[in-house]
Amino acid sequence: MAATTDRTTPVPAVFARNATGLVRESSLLNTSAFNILNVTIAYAILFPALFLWQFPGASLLLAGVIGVAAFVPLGMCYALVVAAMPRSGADYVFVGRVFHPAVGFIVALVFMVWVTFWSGLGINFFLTVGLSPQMAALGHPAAATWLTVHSHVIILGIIILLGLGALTAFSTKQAMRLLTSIVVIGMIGTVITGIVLLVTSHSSFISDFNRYAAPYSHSKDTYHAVLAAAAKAGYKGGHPFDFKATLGLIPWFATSFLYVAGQAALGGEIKRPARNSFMAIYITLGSMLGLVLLVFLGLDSGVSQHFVGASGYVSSNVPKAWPLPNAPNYNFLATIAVSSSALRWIMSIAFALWYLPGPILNYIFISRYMVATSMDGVLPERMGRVDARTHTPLLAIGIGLVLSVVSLILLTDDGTLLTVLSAVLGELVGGYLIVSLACIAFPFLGKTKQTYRASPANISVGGVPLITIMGVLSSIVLILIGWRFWVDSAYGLNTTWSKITTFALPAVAVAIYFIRRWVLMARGEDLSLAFKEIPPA
Amino acid sequence: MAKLTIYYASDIHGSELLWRKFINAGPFYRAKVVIMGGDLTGKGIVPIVRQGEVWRASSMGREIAARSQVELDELEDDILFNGMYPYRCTQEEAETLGGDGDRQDQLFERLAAETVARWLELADERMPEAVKCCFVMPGNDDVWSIDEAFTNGHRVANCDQRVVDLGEGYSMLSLGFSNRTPWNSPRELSEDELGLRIEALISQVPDPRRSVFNLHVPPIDSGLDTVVKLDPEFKPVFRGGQPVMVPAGSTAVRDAIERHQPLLGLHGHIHESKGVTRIGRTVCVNPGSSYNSGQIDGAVIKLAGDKVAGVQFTAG
Repeated sequence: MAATTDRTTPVPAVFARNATGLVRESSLLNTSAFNILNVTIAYAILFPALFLWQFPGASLLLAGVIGVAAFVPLGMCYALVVAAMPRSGADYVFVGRVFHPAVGFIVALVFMVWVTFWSGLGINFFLTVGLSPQMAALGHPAAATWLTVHSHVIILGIIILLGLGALTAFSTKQAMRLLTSIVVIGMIGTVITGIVLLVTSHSSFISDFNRYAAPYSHSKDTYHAVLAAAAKAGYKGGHPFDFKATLGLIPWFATSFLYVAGQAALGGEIKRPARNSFMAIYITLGSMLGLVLLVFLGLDSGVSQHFVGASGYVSSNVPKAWPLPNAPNYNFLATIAVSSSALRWIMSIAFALWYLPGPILNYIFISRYMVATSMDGVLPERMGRVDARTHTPLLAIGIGLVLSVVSLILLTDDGTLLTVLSAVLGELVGGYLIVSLACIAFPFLGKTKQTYRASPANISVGGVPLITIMGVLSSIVLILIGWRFWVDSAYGLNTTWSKITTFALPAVAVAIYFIRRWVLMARGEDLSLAFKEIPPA
Repeated sequence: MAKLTIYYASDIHGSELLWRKFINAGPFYRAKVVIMGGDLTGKGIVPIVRQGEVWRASSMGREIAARSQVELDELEDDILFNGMYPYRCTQEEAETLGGDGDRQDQLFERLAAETVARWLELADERMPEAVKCCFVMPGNDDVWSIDEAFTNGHRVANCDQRVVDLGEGYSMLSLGFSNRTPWNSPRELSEDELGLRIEALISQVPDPRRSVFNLHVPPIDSGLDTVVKLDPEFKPVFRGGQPVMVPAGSTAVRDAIERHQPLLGLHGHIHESKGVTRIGRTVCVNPGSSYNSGQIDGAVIKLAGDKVAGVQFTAG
């Protein structure tokens, strides 16, 4: 007779062999750091503050909390995907398995194209939003102006893109070291900026601002002149708190936090509970929230939300009434309030550097997708071919470089600050929303049901798979943000060009897939065999 | 001109679902020769203990209870899906095993041998006639107890440490050993020893230029052997927030390929390094492995005369 045991008897653990590849989980710190490297927090601080004027009555602080929390479901989706399919090769493979390889290729192509957009944008911002205003704040207006001349931006930008591309191509290790250094410097700089703003009294800021602006405005009280100009032009400063307006700022946070899922690349050998992955998402978003709130609190107390909004309004809508050579971004305003030259330089360099990681990350990103899709045969093999000497896909990086240069030229010559969001909308709809939808379906489809059931992602809440819940929440957030982008001209995204490219790119991806399939078929090769499931004997 | 289509997969690590897919892979990909490149056995044992009317097991970091035969079958299926061996036992036996590493090893060897024997019988029953040759090779992680299962004459032949004829004028040498790993696996050799064994096999190959080198461990620094660097506690090493990646392949394998320039190199061992590369004229392939995802990662390779006419990676 079998012995019975009571229900408190612990269940024996797995007897795991000391087998090859049995790797312990990365530490929480390392997983979190890896995530943080993928989130360019500067955008999430820059845009809400710069465009605060569009949403009178909005609370920067509350928007920060909601804006960061809104992306927890997306981060959790990716953490669960990694737990379920640790060697999945990221979202492209996951979506391809859940839905169809052509849909997986939509995700891959969307990300490949839009990350090059971010590369060009990042370099443009490095020069025009990062360095130029800071040169002005440091008392070098001629340099500030020089850095905004279109031809200079393009030439310098191409040189920087070439340099970063070469570094990534010939020494990815050094490129990643550079990336890490930049992010660390950027974060330290952001903390310093936040503290400076917090310890600066509002009256002190007013006199610092007036002292700085006097040579440009020829006025002793530029601060109040700006407020007056804003009011005259119709800006509703001092508006009482408006929750709906606060929600209007949320889409701006997508510029940083859509990319919270960097840990997708860290999947391990043996599937294990996603505890560290979940915690890493919370730590990443929590620490980013801390930085956001630090700066927003500082802006509120030192500069005042009223002036943040008014200065943004005037510089965007009444440029003749804005005397300074650059738009009033948060770092620019903070630097003006600092008397120490050394501190000004540190804050300026750190702020400018924030926009440089983009191209490095994006060369690696685009390479990863190109290698994966070319190995599957969707793209020609040579596009993902890895060079024997450098161990990098040189052609993929080269293509990324060319597209980045094209986007730099287009954005510099023809774009506005708001054009950046075309990339966000495109990635949101064609990339992250599709991944979120795949997360909803993953536990239920016949072809993936057992993969889900046998994995650590098999966690239910109230009988509903957690990955489905997170997929639903993430989809809702992304649809709401996408809808705001689509209908509200405040974001500058509901242009014909933006709308067309958002849906044209997925259509192009599907076309490429089926054309490629047809071309290979004509050569006697069947692309579908790369993905078709073998019926088990 | 001689033509041959090969299907190659490796590192299924105890996944019965993947073995069953491998059995059917030949006609699915129109390959007459199917090759399994090593590491067939699982990574551990999951004890399923009976507690009253319920069977309980700890898997994937959570406790699972099976309250009916259907649920129990599903639980065992899921354990096998993840490359582990389910083992029904009493609480007392599980506790005894938990404290005795030698008994765990013995049990593992028995379960692995039984599983491989069952797999070979399954292949005898169900492998399509269209498959001309099916070769399987134990890899570095495979315990020695499984070798006996191959001696009973099956459709599946153990090609380890042998030179075999693939047909159409192609031959294949195979070696499942790896170079030294931090895990001290059952079939490891020093680089010198590995080199000697490979050379001994090459001496039996009629025409190295029309041969396939089926070597479980990939050549070093080939891009097919990149792994995350580990510390002495087997934790990934990070520098500046990034995992440090290092090559873990074999110098002996690389030397052999560079010197003898076979037509094709087939490799496994490093699951995360899927790829294809050339060392001189030799095309080297590692299809990677995601054995616990339910899909078998493989490569369909077309040989035509003295050339590799095409390599297509598959996820079946």
